Amino acid sequence: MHQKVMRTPRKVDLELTSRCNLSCRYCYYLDNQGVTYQDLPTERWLAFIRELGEAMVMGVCISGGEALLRDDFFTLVDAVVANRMRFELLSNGFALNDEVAGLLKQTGRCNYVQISLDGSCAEVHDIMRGQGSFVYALAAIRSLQEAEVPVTVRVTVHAGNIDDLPATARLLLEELQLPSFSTNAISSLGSNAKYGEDLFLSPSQHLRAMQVLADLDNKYPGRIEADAGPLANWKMFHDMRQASASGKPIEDRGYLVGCGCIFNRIAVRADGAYVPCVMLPQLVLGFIGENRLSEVWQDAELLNELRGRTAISLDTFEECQGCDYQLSCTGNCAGAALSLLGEANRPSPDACLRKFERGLAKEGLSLP
Amino acid sequence: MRELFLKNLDQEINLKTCLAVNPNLVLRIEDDDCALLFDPDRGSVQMLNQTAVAIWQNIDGQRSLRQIIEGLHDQYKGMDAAANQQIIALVNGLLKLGAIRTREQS
Repeated sequence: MHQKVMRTPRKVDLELTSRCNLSCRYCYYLDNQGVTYQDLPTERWLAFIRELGEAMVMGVCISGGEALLRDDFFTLVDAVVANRMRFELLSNGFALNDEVAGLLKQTGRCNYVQISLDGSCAEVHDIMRGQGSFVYALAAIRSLQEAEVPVTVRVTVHAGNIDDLPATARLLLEELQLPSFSTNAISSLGSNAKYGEDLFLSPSQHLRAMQVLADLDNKYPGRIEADAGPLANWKMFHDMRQASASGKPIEDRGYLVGCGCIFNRIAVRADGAYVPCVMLPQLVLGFIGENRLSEVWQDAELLNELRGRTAISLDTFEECQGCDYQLSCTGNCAGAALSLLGEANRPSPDACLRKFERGLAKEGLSLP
Repeated sequence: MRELFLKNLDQEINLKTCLAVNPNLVLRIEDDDCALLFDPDRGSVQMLNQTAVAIWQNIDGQRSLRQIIEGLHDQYKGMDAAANQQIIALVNGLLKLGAIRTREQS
């Protein structure tokens, strides 16, 4: 279970700004307790990007907020390029027009741009993201395609867009001819706490989303990706149930191994705080300009505690006792565990198969 | 050593040729066992073994191939002719990758 820690991270997530033109109801980024939402001046980021180059970091994932709202966005991107790194950009598309797409292309170092798009039409997409947001998200995708910048889309699945998922897949994969898109679900972090439980998928909605996405996965093989959410759970639950039925647990499971990012990447918040991951924004490890990346990466106590989670067996947790799936379970996302339970080094209930099955049973349902 | 090199090196270089690393590439030493050579323009990554890393680190744009080989022999005592073969193969590989160049090319 022991994983080596490399000398410096391969990739760094940079949340360049806390500002956003949207206020999505389920935003994982905003409204997290204990997080300071303020931006750094250009010089601070430039100095840090130089440090990333010196540390031989290979790439950055730029996000926010909405990173393109920064006037100095391309100054920072130019610094990324000058320091021998590549980058990807996560955006809602609002400020991404033909000119910006052309400039991204000119860098020669953009892995891809990911646009958030939750539906096949404004009526669906705008439910959570706000009126008018569909139009410019779609326009941004077209601008990127025109400029030949690799583009992908992230669809966040919620109760209001499950039935639209086939139309969304048709739009993205057939009409726009994207190579692929990815899906997830509303996370337990951020703004959703303001709006209550109704934003989350109920077990029956989750099951329906799983089935719709599984059908689409069959229709478009290999073109719908998922690290979290209904499709990821569908596949993971299938494997776990099969392993349980066969009596052969999945290899390297049964411990808190659901979080691999902490071994090869780290994140920096808009205020310059190092955090283990964008899903763990409350766990401050230090600050850029005050603490060197390599020191934080190697020595931050909190980070090393998190890395130690892979040696924590699930059988030490009361909630896992007697679970048929324990030996094939990963314990799921540390960020979800922290936001739901207040403790990162615990199994997270958000993707717990036993809990999910029990929830379905209460609604008179079961996994097929 | 001269004959060995002429036999094995694919490109028009000899022991007097100065080698330089491609300055656009990044050598990432991951840990004691692993190093990656990253080309940010192509987005490609090659894994290097310890010998290739040692070669890379001895190439400074000033030293000739002979001096690099001699430097490696000084650094790693007990290297034999078989090790030379390995070095030659690795230099060839790095040249083909565009990871190193002759000084004239640089």
